[in-house]
Amino acid sequence: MVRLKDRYLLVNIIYSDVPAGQQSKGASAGAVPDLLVYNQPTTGELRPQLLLKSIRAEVAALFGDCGAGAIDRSLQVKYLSTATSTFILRISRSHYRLVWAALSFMHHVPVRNGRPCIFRVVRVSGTIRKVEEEAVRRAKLLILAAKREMAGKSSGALDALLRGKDDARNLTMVVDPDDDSEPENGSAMNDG
Amino acid sequence: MTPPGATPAAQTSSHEEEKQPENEDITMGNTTTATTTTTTTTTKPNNSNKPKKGRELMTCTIRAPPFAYAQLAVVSDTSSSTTDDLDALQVRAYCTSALRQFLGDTGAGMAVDILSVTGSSCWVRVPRADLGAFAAALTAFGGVSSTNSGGGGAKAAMLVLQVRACGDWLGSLIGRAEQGALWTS
Repeated sequence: MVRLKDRYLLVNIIYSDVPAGQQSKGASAGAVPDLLVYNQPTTGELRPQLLLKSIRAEVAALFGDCGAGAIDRSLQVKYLSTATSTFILRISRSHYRLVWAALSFMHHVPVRNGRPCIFRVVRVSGTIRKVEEEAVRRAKLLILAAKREMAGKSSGALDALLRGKDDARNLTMVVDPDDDSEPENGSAMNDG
Repeated sequence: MTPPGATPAAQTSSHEEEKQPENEDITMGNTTTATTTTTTTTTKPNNSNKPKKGRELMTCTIRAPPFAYAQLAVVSDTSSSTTDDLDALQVRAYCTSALRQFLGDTGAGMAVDILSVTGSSCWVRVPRADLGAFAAALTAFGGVSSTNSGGGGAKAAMLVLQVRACGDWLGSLIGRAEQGALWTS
């Protein structure tokens, strides 16, 4: 039996429409750190089926019947957490770029009167275990960074980015080249 | 086509250019002229003492031409209606709608150049990497219904696009089209 290889995408939902009242300069009492303003929880109306439907519609709009048929069998929402605004998608290895491109073109949460948001793919991996570990690690780092910002030690996201190579690499995206247990030989079917 | 006095190296280059690994010309088999050239290469002994008739100035092998070419024809599924002559705008409209249905926005953005339109057939040019998707999109196209001016209430015939030929080298495609016309006209 030939192995069917998949890719798992870890996606964050980032909110860019910050209401005017919440923008705060400095860490005054009761102010929410910027990191937490961008990574807010999502509305509870978002269900896996709604998310799937909107991704499928976007792939069909961008890539037509050919693209819609290519991802139809293997696209699945493996995990969705509205509290952390994170979800994990499973997609076949040869067509994960179609889904990634469709996510880039989606600009609001797929519910009724959804807020404008950005779907940011932060990890691509061949096994779901690595993706889960990455989700846990990012959640921990986010808490630490938010605490640091609350305590006033860092002056913002730019400082966190430039602080040091360890911290900067921790929160940027990493694509695992080969997360499968056996090496891939040859190239998979490319999308046209 | 190489001149008779060409050296084996130049003939090797034409032999390579006929043997495209991925995009072979799809319509009727290999031209006889090309096969004659290759058999001449293998049977001629490479005798360097004999004075050469010609002098090879330059050898060039084109492995990846930038464009691929296709000939399309509009046919109607009922034999009775006569197809009106095509024009470039109709070809553009058909191609765009076929590509948009099959490949979405990325298909509608594909660079299709219409080279010439004669009668009910036309020649188009696409980037070489997109030829497979383009041919598939036109094959999957459901067609448009033609409007019959006469005969009130007659049902509209479906006009579909037919890919007559497609390949990398325009010269050989046109040659085959003319060759086919010899036998059918």
